[in-house]
Amino acid sequence: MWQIISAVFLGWSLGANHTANVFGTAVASRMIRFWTAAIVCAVFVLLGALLQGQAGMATYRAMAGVSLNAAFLVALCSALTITLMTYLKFPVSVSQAVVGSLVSIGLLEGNFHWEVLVKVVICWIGTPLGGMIFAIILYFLVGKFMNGLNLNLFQHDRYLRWCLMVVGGYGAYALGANNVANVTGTFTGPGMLTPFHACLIGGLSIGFGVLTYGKKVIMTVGKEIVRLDGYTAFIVILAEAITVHIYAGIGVPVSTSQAVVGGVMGIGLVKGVSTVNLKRLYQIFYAWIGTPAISFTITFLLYLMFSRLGLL
Amino acid sequence: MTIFSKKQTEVKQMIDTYLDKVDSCIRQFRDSMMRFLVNGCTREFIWDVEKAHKFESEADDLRRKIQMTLYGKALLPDSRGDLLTLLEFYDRIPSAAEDALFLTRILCMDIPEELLEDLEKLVEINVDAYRLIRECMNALFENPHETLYQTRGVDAKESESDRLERSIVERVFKSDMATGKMMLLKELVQTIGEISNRAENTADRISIVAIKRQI
Repeated sequence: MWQIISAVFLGWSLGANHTANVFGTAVASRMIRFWTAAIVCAVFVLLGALLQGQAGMATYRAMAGVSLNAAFLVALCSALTITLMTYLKFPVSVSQAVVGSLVSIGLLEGNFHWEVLVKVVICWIGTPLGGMIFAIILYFLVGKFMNGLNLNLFQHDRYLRWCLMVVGGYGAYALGANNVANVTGTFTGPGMLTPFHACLIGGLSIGFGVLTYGKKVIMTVGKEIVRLDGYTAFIVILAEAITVHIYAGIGVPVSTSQAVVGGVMGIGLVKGVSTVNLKRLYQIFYAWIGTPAISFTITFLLYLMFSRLGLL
Repeated sequence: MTIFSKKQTEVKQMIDTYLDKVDSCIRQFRDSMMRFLVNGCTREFIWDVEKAHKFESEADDLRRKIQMTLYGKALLPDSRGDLLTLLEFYDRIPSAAEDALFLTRILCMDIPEELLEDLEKLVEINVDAYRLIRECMNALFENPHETLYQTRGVDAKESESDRLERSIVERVFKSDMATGKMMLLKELVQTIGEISNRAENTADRISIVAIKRQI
């Protein structure tokens, strides 16, 4: 089954790009060594994928059941979209690229289910909102608890370090559970991978991305999150992890980056400061529309080309 | 907690040693000034000034060592920044005490009899302001909820020092001493008063550090 190679590539890219969302603060502030974070992240991504990754795969199967070659095309076109958009420095979401590609193939093959897409799109919109709402609630709840502890500067620092470590692990788990479907979800079905094997291969490829290319991204993206103080960074990552974990349960792969932006906005609202500018909101909106549209077009063109060549 | 706390324990111990050193410097300042006000610019007084200087520079070295350890990632960037700024502010207090002693030694002037009592009082108030800021530091590291309450005491001492400074300077300028001496006495009084000014600035920093950790 050579076609799985495109999924492995997509998983690698996802792992490399998303480590920063869960361990960015801890590593960019140099409080945890990259390798410690990367190993914890890779292990928890795999655990999340194996234990809770199957629901998202079922959603993608329900949206458009595709053949092995078409699944190869979905993963390849999503990876191409992400690579292209990253090169052009446009914001991008893996989930949205995969869905754009699936819609394209589903329409071309005439087996697309719009009602599933509606559910997915609602979840996309709910992702930054969820991040924001959880961030607001957690900010006060956790804050009240920590105030009650009357921690001195050193204890406060030590607790925060542990919180960031634990929440990083949880975030990685949620990432694996939610996003593994993006990687190998379309490869499940009759004559293809079993959901367990799909989760295993997907989880391993995301973990591989974390270990081999995560450092570079973590040091650039992580610094953006680290501008928050330790406590608010912890709240943002926890809000993101809970949001993404909930959608993993619902079975809809969503963007962890958009959950982070929602969380940062929530902190801004609580503190009465502007933490996210209009450009950031535009980027999310663009990712909802632009990413699937580009992925849709690339898939459409490649599908026609592959069909002409008799490869599909 | 052990994997994170080793460096923190090291920093905490260094800070405790540093604070003890500053305590010694301020104690020496008080003893030296009292000796000067009673006996004048004697050889013992000059020797005392050197001792205070020694404590101050030892404290300075320790602060630099703490800085280096903190830059070695002993704390989160936010806590690191707060602690470094706080120590920088705190370190200005023994510097002020040292400045006052040096000025006194350089001027080696006779203090008019009628000002001696007030000058002694001024020294005591400023030493008290330091004692209170030291308690604030203890509270910050041991019982943060008490910190804000403690910092109010420093403000009160600073105001007391200000009032006394003004009254002494007023009396100096109403006296019939030479203008040059008036100016020098004024400077000496203000330099001593700088200790409580700096203690107040440090108290403000301590309040910020404490408030930032209350969510």
